[in-house]
Amino acid sequence: MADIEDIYEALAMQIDRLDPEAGALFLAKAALALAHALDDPDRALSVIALAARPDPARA
Amino acid sequence: MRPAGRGEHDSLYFTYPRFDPPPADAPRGSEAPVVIVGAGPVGMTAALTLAAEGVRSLLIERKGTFNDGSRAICVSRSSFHILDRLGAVAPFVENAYGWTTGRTFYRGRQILEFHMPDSADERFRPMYNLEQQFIEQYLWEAVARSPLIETRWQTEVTGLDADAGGVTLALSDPAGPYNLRADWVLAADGARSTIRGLRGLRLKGTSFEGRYVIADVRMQHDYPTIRRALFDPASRPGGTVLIHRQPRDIWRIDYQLAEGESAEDATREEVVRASVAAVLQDIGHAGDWDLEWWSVYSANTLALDDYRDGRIFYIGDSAHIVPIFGVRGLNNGLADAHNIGWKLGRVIKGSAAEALLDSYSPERRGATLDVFANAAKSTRFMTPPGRGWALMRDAALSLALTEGWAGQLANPRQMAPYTYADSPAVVPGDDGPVHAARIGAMLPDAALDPGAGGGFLSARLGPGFTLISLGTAVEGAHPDLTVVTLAPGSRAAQRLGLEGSGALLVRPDLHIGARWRDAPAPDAVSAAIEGILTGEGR
Repeated sequence: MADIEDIYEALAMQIDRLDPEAGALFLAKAALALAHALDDPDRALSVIALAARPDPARA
Repeated sequence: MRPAGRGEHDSLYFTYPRFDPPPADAPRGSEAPVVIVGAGPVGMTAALTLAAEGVRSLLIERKGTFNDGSRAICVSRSSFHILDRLGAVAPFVENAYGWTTGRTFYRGRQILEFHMPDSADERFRPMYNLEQQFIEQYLWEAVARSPLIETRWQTEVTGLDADAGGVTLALSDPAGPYNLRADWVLAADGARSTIRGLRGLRLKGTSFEGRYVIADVRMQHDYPTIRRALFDPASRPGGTVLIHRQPRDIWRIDYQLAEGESAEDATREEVVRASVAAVLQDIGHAGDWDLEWWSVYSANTLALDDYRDGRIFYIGDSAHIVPIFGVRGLNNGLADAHNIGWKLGRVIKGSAAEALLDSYSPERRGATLDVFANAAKSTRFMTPPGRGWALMRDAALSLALTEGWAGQLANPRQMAPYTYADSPAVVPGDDGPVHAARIGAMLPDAALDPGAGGGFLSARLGPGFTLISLGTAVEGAHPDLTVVTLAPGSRAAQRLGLEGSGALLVRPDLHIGARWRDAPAPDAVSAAIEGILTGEGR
């Protein structure tokens, strides 16, 4: 059964295969497709807000 | 703009009429209580609506013919119902191309086919395509038949003085200047409204970056009347193209200009020809074609804060400018004209209180803001305003190649009539079980059973208010009322969400003004009508 580490690795490997511009497009597609699969728009929006929080280590 | 060697009104398919100004010795006064500035589609619809109410109007038009070029081409079902109410719909039905379907392509592959709601219960199709010159010609034919409408072509407004009792307009025609006093003025003088400027009012809102060239070409092209949207086609890498079929082998092609592409350069004839040729190659047209007309366009969502300015009402583009995506400009203008027309007509005739006029701006500005919400989404998808919008649009389009759900993000959200839910000119109450027939909504049409005489419900409505009832008829409840009785359980009753002995009251503009779960007493119906006519429905 796949877990979050598998997701992490799959994303990392796919991004590495792409040039930076295509990587951004891939991530946008992945985010849209994941939100659609989640079938819970409010939860998807809260996840997006979570990801958009400033990185405390860079503040 | 037209190709070199052809004049401003030298069309491939339309002969522009020439309208003379009033004769120099003709009287310049007027008994009409309403002056309508602008004899385009919106102004003419306002004049026809007032005439239907038995009210005279004077149409003032700066030009001596119709608008140059085919600007608005999509006329919605709700507009056809308005034209039907005004006795002007027949040539539109006969000549316009009805359509229900749109197809969206990304890099040449179809990613979406949408169908607008349509059924045997609808008398009119959801959308029709017709060149604006013919829209104006058919309206003009109706205007010219009316003894209650006087039109003065080649007459320009040069000044105005408004007070509590009326408006004095300074007018000028080839014979010279003169002043004219009117009780009411309807400003239907377009996006660059002179009236608005003279009153010092400004449209407010958002202007979008994306610009389009719109071009009409004549060609014999074998494709049905289906709206096509092309994203990132070979002819416009990274851009979008829209294609509409119009009658008489005329095709509308809208294509987006690339970032940094100057409008001045893009509208040079040779550039337009090359751009159109590339689009035609994209859609597989290898035959001959002629260039008819072109223009350049940018998307805006701009509106006045208030569409009423004392005794002046702003209708159509003088009040609001909306993006073309979703085809709401002309159609909202016609709805503005019809809305103020029936209200002002009744106020002038003395059957409604002046307070009814205060419902015009909230109803129609509410419709504009609703349009803005939808049109802004469509515009951001068609012409992404920033890096993030462009990335997400491209992600959706790319996904849509294999995932049907993603194609819905490219749905253009076509025009739908607005619901006046919070208006002072509706009576709040139980909305009933059918969302489309809730209070304030435009009445859904319905096919009537053959046993009930057949035909469509919309054709049975009276000239003023109509009570659609399942219960005991309440004839005579109000002099402005027509009663239509439906059989309980009939298809029409179900479409309107009428059960038991329920009833609903339809305003003259086809919007539902009140509903009752049980058969209303005549006094209740009369009170509802009076509540609406006094602008105190709430």
